Amino acid sequence: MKKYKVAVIVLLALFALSAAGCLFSFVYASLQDLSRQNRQEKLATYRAQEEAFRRTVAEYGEWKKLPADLRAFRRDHIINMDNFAVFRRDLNQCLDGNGFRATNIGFQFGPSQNGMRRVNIQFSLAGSYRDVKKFIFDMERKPKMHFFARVELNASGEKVTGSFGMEAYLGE
Amino acid sequence: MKKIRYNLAARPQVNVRVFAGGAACLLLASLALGVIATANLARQHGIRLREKSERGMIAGRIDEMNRESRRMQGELDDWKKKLGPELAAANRLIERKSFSFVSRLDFLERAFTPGIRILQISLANEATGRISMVLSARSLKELFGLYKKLAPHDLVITSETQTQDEYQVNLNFAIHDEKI
Repeated sequence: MKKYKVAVIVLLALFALSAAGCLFSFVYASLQDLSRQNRQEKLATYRAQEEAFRRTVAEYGEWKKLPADLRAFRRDHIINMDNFAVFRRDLNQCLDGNGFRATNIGFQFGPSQNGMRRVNIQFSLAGSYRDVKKFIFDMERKPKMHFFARVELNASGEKVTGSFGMEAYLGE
Repeated sequence: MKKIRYNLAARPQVNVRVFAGGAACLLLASLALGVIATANLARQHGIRLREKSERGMIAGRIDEMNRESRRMQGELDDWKKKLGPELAAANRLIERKSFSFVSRLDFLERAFTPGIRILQISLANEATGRISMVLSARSLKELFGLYKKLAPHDLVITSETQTQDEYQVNLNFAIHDEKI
């Protein structure tokens, strides 16, 4: 009879030990979860830092390409002295092509700034509205760095007289 | 009538089969609980180890990021100082080059009705995109129809003169590129 009692006590003790171990493991897991939430905040800070770093890398990449982009911009759009003659020929061709005769085209050369010199160009035209608009369109679509700074149109009978101010940029 | 039975055994009898069954159940339950506890603790330990290695990696990465960031920021500051003015000038030129007078004339053609005649128009290549004009209208209805169309474009009516058969108006308004 005694050996049964011992066996029962041993088995119950084993069961109690296992139950306590199991309970402990769950409590331990809950505590770990709580401290993990704390660590998540640190992880969020790290992620924000990583995002800022990624933005810096992207900005760095853009600025690294910039000297080449600026060189390409100057090559493709800023007018050099040879191209300035081409620009003046283009302007005259656009005027002729739209039936205008600009008798008095004034060029004023400004001071050099950032390796570029601004040239102010002024002239007046008279013709139909359609031709004036076509002339503006033809000049606007040219890729080199010249553009209209101001346009004044006056209606006089069936015709339009226009006073134009253009700017062209010459590279040095 | 109920029959009385007496147990005259010296020791209480134990049913060995029932005892063995109960003991086996208790043993199995203990084993199951033990396995659950061990698995749970092992899982937590694994997570902790993984997190520890991640934390180490993150700390290393943060150091590396900070070092790289400082280096890049230094170079960026140099570039901004050296190339900033040239970049600003290029951007200003690109912005002015993309200003379209033809698009603004197209807009005016759409907005104006046949009863309105433009006498003078002045456009400037500026960020504000303001257009000044002098126009005449044959009727008030047409004139107010135009005012209504230009009202969303910061319309400013400078003066209005009414003569016998027409209305002459000085006005200006702004057309921004995104509204064309």
